[in-house]
Order: sequence, then C-alpha cells, then structure tokens
Amino acid sequence: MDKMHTSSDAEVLTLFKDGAFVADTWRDLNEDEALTGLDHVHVPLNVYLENKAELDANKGAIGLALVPGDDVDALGEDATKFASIVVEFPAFTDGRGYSYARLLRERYNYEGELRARGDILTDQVAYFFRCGFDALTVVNEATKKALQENDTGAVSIYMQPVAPSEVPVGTRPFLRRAN
Amino acid sequence: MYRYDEFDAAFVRQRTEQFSHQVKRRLSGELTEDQFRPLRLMNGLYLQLHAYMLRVAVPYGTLNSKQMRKLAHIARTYDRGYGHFTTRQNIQYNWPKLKDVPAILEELASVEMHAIQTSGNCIRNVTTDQFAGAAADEIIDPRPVAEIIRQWSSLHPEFSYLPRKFKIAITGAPQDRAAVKFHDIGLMATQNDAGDIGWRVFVGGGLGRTPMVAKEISDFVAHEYLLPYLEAILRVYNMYGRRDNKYKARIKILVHETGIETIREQVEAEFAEIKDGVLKLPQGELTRITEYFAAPSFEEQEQTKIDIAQFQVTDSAYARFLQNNLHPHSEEGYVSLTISLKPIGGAPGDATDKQMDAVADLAEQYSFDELRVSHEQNLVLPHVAMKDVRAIYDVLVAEGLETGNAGLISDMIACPGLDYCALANARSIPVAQAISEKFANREDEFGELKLKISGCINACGHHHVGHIGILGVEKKGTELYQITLGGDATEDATIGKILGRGVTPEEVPGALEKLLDRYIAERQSPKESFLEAYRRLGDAPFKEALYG
Ligand code: HEM
Ligand code: SF4
Repeated sequence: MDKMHTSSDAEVLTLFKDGAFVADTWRDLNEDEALTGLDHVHVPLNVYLENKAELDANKGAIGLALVPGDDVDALGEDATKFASIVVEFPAFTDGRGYSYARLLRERYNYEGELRARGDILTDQVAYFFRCGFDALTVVNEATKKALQENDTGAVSIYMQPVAPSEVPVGTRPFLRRAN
Repeated sequence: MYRYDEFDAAFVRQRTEQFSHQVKRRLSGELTEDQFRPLRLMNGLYLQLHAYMLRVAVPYGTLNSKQMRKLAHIARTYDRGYGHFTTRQNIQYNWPKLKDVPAILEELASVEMHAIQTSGNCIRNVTTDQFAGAAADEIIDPRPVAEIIRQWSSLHPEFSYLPRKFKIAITGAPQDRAAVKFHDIGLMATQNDAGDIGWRVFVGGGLGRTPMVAKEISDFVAHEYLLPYLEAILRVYNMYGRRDNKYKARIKILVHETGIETIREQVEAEFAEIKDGVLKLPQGELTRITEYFAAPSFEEQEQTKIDIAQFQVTDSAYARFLQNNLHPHSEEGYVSLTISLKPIGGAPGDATDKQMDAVADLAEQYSFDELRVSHEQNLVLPHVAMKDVRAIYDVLVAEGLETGNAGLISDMIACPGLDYCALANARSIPVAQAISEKFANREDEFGELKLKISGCINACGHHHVGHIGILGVEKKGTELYQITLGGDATEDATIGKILGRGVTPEEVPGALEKLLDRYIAERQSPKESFLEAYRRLGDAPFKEALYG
C-alpha cells in the first residue's frame, strides 16, 4: 500500500518541496565511506574535486554538498552532472549560499534539485526560492509551521530582477513577481 | 520627487503586513524574542536598554511636507513628542511601544514611507548631498540614480544576509557633502573624455574602530552599467567578506586585507559576466525616473543677492543666519536654506512634533514642497527664493529653530554617549553642551569648523573626520577625552590624527580654547580655515599650545 503522509508525519519530515513536507530519499556521505556503489548520496565538494573520476563512475545518483567557503567556481560546469545539490546554512546570518545558488543556476546552468539546509527563518523562505533553491531542509519549528500553513507572508512583488523565471510586471524593466 | 506607483505601494503594503503579522506573533508569545530578533532587525526595530527604537528611512534624505507632517504626527501620537534625525539622513523614534509598531508602519505607508532595511546586515538607506538637485556646483542630480539603487537593493534576495551592514553614498557634485569616501561604496559623478557623465566608484571606506578612507575601484562606470557593477561588488563581498569576527566583517577590512588590486580583479571578472545581463539600465528607465526629479518651476527673481552687511548692526542674529545658513543655488535668485537642529545647549538632531509641522508648512509655502535631511543632522529647504528668506527666518524664530550656526563649531555631531548608550566609555552630550556654551560668542571668529564627538571607539559621532574630533575613552575608571585634529569627510578625505594624551571632561572646553587661540594667532587671514591652517602648519604649534 502507498504510504500516505499524515500530519503527524509532517512533524518529523524536514524536507519541504513543491509545497509540502516530503520524505527525504537522499543521505550524506559518511566519513571514510567507499566512493563506489553510491546512490542518492550528497558528497562534499572537496571530496568530489579530489575523486572526480571515481565518483563520476557511480551508476547511482550522486549529489553534492556545499558549505560556506566552498569555491563554486572550482566546480563550474561540472555542476550539471549532479541530480541534487544541497547548500548548508549553518547560521541564518551566513548568506554566502545565496550567491552560490545564483552562480549554480545562472552561470553554471545547473537545473537539478537545489536544496538549502540548516538554520532557515520564515523571512528567508522567499529569498531562497528567488535565488534558485527549489527545496528546503528545515528544522526551525516556527518556519516549519509557517510553511505547513502556507503562511510565510512573503512579499510577492520584487524590486529587482534575479532568476530568469521571474515574471516582469507592468512596463518597468526591473520589476518582477513570483510566477 | 519620486512617487510610488501601484507596485511600489503594494510592495510596501505587503512588507508592512508581513512584519505586522510577526509583531502580533511576538506579542502573543508564539515567537520568542530570539526568533523575533532577526525579523525586527530587518525592519528598523531595535531593542535598546529600556525600550524599542524605530528607525524610519528617509530615502536619500528627501521628504515632502505631507511626509514631514506624518513624522510629526507619529512623534506626537506614539512617542514622546519628538524625533531624532540621524547622521544617515533617517529619523529615529526612541519610545514606541511594540504593540503600536504595526500602526506606525501603516501610517508611514500611507505617505510612501517605511522602515525597511534601516537595520540588519543588508544594504542600508542610500545617502546623498543634502543640496542635491539644487547646488550651484553640481554636475548631475544624484537622486535619480540613488532611487534606482534604492529599488534594486530593496529586499534583495542575495544580499540581505551580508557579513555586515552595507552603506552606499552618492554625490553629484565635486565638493563632496555626503562623505562618500567613508562609506562601504561611495559614488562620485564625473565626466569622461567623451563628455559623458558617469560614476567614480570608491570602495571600503568607514569609521568605527578601524577608520578607513575608501579606495577608488573604478574611475568611470556608465549609468547603464552601474547596477551590474554594484551587484558584482556585493557578490564578491558576500562570498569573501569575513564572517568570523563582527569587527572585521565590513568590506573595508576585506579591501584592506586582500588589497584593492585583487578586489578590483575579482569585481571586474564578476562584472564582465553580468554586465550585459538583466540589470543593464535602459535609457528609458533612467529617463522615467529622472523625470520625477525634474526641477520645480522656478520663477524669474528680481532679488538676486542678499546684502548681509545692512543687518550686521541692527539684527546681528539674522546677519549670522544669512552668513552661515544659506547655500548657493543653481538658479539665480534662489538659495538652499539650512534649518539648524543644533540650538546652543540642545541635543543635536532632535526636533519636536511642533517644529516638524512648522518646517513642513515652510516647505509647502516656500520651497516647492521639498525638504531635506542632512547627514549633519539638520533640515534643509532646498529651493528658497531670496525674497522669502526673511519671512522664513521669522517663522524659525517663533519655533526656536533660527540658530545661525551651520558649519560652525556648535553645528557639531555628537553621539548619545554615556547618558543613553550602554557601550559608551564617556559622556558626549554634556561635553558638547559645555563646548557650544563656551564658544557661543566666538564661533563666527573661528569660521568653518567641524567638531565631532563620540563616546567610544564605535565612532557614531564621526570623530575621525572632525576638523577637531573628540573621542571618549576610559582609563582606570575615569573618563578621558582624546583630541584628534585634521579629519575631513569631504573629497579630500582624511582621518584625524591624535594630538597627544587625553584630557579630563572639565578640561575639554579649555583645551579647545588653547587650540583655537593658536589657530587665530597663526592663520594667514580670516579666510584660512582651521583645517587649512592645520594642514599648512602640522601638529607642532597645536601640541605646544595644548601641552606646553
Ligand atoms: C545608544 C544608541 C547607540 C548605540 C548602542 C550605537 C552603537 C553603534 C555601534 C556598535 C556601531 C558600530 C557598528 C559597526 O561595527 O559597524 C555604530 C555605528 C554607527 N553609529 Fe551608532 N549607536 C547608537 C546611537 C547612534 C546615534 C544616535 C547615531 C547618530 C548620531 C549613530 C550613528 C552611527 C553611525 C553613522 C555609525 C556607522 C559608523 C561607520 O560607518 O562605521 N549611532 N553604532
Ligand atoms: S560612539 Fe559609542 S558611546 Fe557613542 S553612541 Fe556609538 S556606541 Fe554609544
């Protein structure tokens, strides 16, 4: 039987995608784990850069885990090889990952799943989506509640163009809205 | 002046609703103070020692009379009858109740104002020359570009969690009245060899505990490329600015530690990628925004100069006002008029609700409905016909706003200091008052003199850029004041030099007297200002005057 997620499940689920909390089919690479036979595993950038050939040879889906301070330009177009990239936000105040997301999407043509994970506040949800994230791993209870109730109260008019998918508004060249 | 269209209005309304909702959740206990803090900090709401403080943005210091009346109304209704104009051309209310904040924000929204991004580690209110669009020496009115930057930076999704706050200042005149070289980014209008007007870009200036003069990163960026260029700088800063130490997180430290050449390379590389992208400014948009700032319909004036001498004997206070508080206007027969918020012995930058209302009336009647807030914490009527100056002055006298001290020693900047600030080492306001009272009868003799006082090394009172700067320090439990000389916030940006050992609070006015007497004795003519004399003479005579 298909497992339906009930609201009590939602409290333990942390991955928010396409408007709902869903089960997470990915995991992080363990320390000292072999780099073969992986499937649905997020691999740290430095591990990937040092073991490209070996990791690229995996049959299963490989993802990438970025932390603040990683050099996204060193990854470059290799980004397109991944099925999922997760960007870590260890503290909500550390906004480096927003730039990483835009570079991945706008410069390096990454089209796969892009997750933000960590200390995520309600106010930031819209910023994440605008910078190109399409999934959030959330632990903050207030944020989870706001997402569940579709009540982030985000401002829907944007004063500057960011992602190419945003829709122009009226005749002003830089105004956008959510699509 | 810029006017909101339906989208700007909806933007501010939505943001106000969003924040009001969060305030309600805080009041109901649903959000803890820890959860609420980052939200309120993006909306100009600080928690001070005893109360909340709300900082309202006055974009590039420009207001109309309706907005000023609203600020007065808020002071009267939700605060203790006054507001404080800041060194960043904003206004602060010191005693709003949290439960009233949604109502205050709604009131503000009704006159196209808000508190968005007046705090937090984001791009703050863009500041400019208080005489923008009026000054005789201007190359270009910087306000259209300031407005374009304001819009681009509003709730920018990539740059709302920067390493630290980020301040941009812009001037359209070669004489810099906006201290652009002491901002994270400073923009100065310039003309290239082809005769096109564009922007010199400076990066990495700031005050605080590590004062730095900004370095030039580009000698010419055309209007159309300005936003991509700014986005490139912000992206480099967002990715590489230090986040391990809040005192080393400003872009000035990045520029200092990495070197301007490397930063320039990084910025230029980023700029090359995005230059011709979506942020390239179409001429049509520049024209559209510029039209909002079209010059008012000036009339030909019969009176084209003001004879100050005739009042010198009969009405010396008015003569002083004329001498000091008028600034040359680009239009014949007009001036810009500074309303000093530095009465002798008062708290710098404060205005009562009644004063704000009176100033709003004056703007409506005499200045094409326009008002400015200056970074020196004064108000300005930018477009006044010379024939109306007397009538304006009479109203100012009735409101206690007639102090004719713009640019003089008592037109000083002083931070709140030990009386109000938990971080202070020493008092600022009593020292400021003692100085302005001591020299009330001599300040004309001293001429142009910028005195700036901070109660601790955070430098809210800009002491580093005072011609004379005073910094409160603490030594073995007593307050001492360090004196710096030669600071300058203008295009000749200089950080003042410490003269020698500190003096006690009681000694400060006397110490300044010794320095100023020496200046009077040494100057080549009354036309040579204190700063010019100091630059010519160096430290030595002043050290000798003070320490013997
Ligand atoms: C009691 C209230 C105040 C406290 C606790 C306070 C605290 C601070 C601190 C800690 C900084 C340093 C921030 C940094 O490291 O970047 C700072 C900077 C600043 N403060 Fe204040 N301040 C207060 C009131 C004021 C007032 C009333 C003014 C206006 C006159 C002011 C103007 C400034 C300015 C312009 C800066 C920026 C200096 C720069 O660009 O580096 N502050 N303040
Ligand atoms: S300079 Fe120091 S004492 Fe003065 S307001 Fe700023 S933090 Fe407080």
